[in-house]
Amino acid sequence: LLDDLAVIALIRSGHIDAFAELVGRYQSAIERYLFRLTGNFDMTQDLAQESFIKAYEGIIKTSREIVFKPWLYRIATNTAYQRLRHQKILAFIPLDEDCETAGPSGDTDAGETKLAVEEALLKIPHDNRICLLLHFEQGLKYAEIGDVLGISEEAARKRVCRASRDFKKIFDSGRGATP
Amino acid sequence: MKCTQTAIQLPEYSDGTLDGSAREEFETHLSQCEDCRVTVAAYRQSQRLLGCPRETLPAVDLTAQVMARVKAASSPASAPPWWKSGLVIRLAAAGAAAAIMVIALTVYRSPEPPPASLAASIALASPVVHAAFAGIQMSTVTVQNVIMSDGQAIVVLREGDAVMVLAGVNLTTKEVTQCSVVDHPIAGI
Repeated sequence: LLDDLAVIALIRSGHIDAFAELVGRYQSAIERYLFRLTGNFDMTQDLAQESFIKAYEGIIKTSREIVFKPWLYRIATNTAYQRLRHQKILAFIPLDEDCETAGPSGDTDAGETKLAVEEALLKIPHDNRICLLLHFEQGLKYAEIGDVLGISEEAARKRVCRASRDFKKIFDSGRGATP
Repeated sequence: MKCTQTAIQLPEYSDGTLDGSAREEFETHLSQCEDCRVTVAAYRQSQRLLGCPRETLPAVDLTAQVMARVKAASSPASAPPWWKSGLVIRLAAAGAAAAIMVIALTVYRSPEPPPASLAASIALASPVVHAAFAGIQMSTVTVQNVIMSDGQAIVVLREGDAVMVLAGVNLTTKEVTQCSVVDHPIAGI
């Protein structure tokens, strides 16, 4: 299996079909991430497609070395921000029916937990929320988050720690637990 | 151990991948530091609540949609599918930085078409070597399609590619008809 760098080299050498390999590798993760940012499936599909097209254009327009995964998340994050700003949607992750997909049918506890998670996330500042999602949900390391957001690894680590403490405090208080 | 170090090691500790002595040191610090205990508890709770995907999105063939747009924006005379005609050779060539490299390859006509994809690691002993190419024995093959990436050179040869062949003192262009890589392309060179 060729790694991302090798696939990018193939694309740059004229084998544009190789880009399908990168789309296949990251489609699912990027869609989940974008869905968590927007809460809208149709918008997620549109943003994912736009993000991959931007990534392809970026690959062929430059010869610089690209670490594809964090770079793609950066593109996706910026694309989502631009779209949400454009549409004046201030609240990420709206609690509409699109979000009600977790847990087996009739699983009240799972549904309540999910709602509490969504509510807690909504109360965390955007930048810190992005850090939480990138680290815990998408599995990015501190350095990769730094690449996505254009900050240092140390700054990314601090944001993740601070955001997780905020998240716990808000989540526990909403559930009636002692923070 | 300082709190900063604890925070750096937190993901490994939480995942259970922090080794013995480091883990003992980490836990000793935790027993003495209330603030770090709060941080660890918060980290673990976030990991538990956010760590598994909770949305199952409907399957949409995004690849086909993206590739249709990519191809529409590209030249119609683009290269054939790489997995059908590609021969990819990764060379360990940390010292090589030239855009055009002279590489060690033995290329010959093969009765069978190339495999769907072929990746081989080849130690590049010298930037200039000899190879047999399309019946020209012991000539030097210059492959122009070389991309440097992370200290490695990736070379792509395809059927139909033109390669520069140095035969004696004459530099000529030859077309690759069919190609393959022998087991030890540099052996004996």
